[in-house]
Amino acid sequence: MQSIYGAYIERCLPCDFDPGRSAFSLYCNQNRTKLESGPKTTDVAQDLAVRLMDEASKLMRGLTFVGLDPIRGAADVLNKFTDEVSERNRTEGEAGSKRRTITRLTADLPGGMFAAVFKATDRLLDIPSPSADDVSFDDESYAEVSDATVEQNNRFWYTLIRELRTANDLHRHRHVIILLHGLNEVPSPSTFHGPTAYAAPSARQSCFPP
Amino acid sequence: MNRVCPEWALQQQNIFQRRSLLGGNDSSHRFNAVMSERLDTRPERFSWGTVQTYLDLVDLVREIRSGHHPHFAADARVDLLGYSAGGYFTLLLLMDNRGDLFRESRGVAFASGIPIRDLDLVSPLILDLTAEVALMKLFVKNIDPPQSEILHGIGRGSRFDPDQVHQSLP
Repeated sequence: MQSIYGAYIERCLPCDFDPGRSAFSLYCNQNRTKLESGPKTTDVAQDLAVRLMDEASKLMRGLTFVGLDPIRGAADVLNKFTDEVSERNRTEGEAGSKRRTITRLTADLPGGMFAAVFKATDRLLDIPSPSADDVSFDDESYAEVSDATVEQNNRFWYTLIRELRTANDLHRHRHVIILLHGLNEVPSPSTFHGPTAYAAPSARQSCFPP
Repeated sequence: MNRVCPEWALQQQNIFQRRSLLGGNDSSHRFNAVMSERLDTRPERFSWGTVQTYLDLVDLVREIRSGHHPHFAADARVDLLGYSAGGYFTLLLLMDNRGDLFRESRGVAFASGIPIRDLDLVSPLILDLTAEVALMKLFVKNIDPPQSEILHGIGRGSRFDPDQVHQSLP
């Protein structure tokens, strides 16, 4: 039997729904002032100011980190360069080799710096990759991840259904009982900001009640 | 409780202090502070939590049926045990029976089933007063069946038509 709730979910909430833009959120947002106890314009204005600050802070934080990333990358390149020059211009040679004289080291310095530039350039080409991964949606972390494939879940959160076995083979159970608790009745309410909500990016977590 | 990360515990304590400063906010407690603030700020989270869990469980059972779940056999029987709000959800899953996934399932619901308007959520173990008022304003005062069509999602020309809202999106 298809319930009215199921019909509503079928019509309004496809699996890729975006809660922020969904019909229910829009309704709540459009009627938010009405949902408050009376038309308190000052409250709305304060709320707007706070939200504005929050969003601006988020934006600033994001932009700051995006801005800092190239600096970190540049520092990484400089570090690579100096390390390479130092490595190529050490007084101690490799094991078993003769001690190198200061005159020889000075003569080799331009060549070492030249080689270090190549190494640093090679490192430079690697830098955009992590930055691009952070902001693109092609990264593996943004892909849909099943709870069952999250290592942390298998190692820690599923301890109650995992059996103690000597071998690594998993015994598959033939009976599942799903326990649905009440409002604020998770084993530890302190973990509402806990790792279950962030076990893996995009991983769907059971969090009802919210 | 002892396993909570200190940063989360501090955040929880800060939230509790904020809730305690609200005038007339009965039953404010460290135990219910986080939940109360989340639902007080956005009471619609209660519905979205339901929807998310619904889809999570449907996905879970589908994964079990596909034989890809590492812990359960493909023909495993899935039963439901719900308490309080979880009891509502148990009934919802069994009535909806999405994709016939719960055809062989059985459900038990404890302490559940009363109308939302009769809920008494004010308790140090559940919610503080301000959060309950926010929930009631949304789900009882403004979305109280049969006046509203929001949860029913049927009937054009009603006060709320999801399709019309979707069409108005940019």
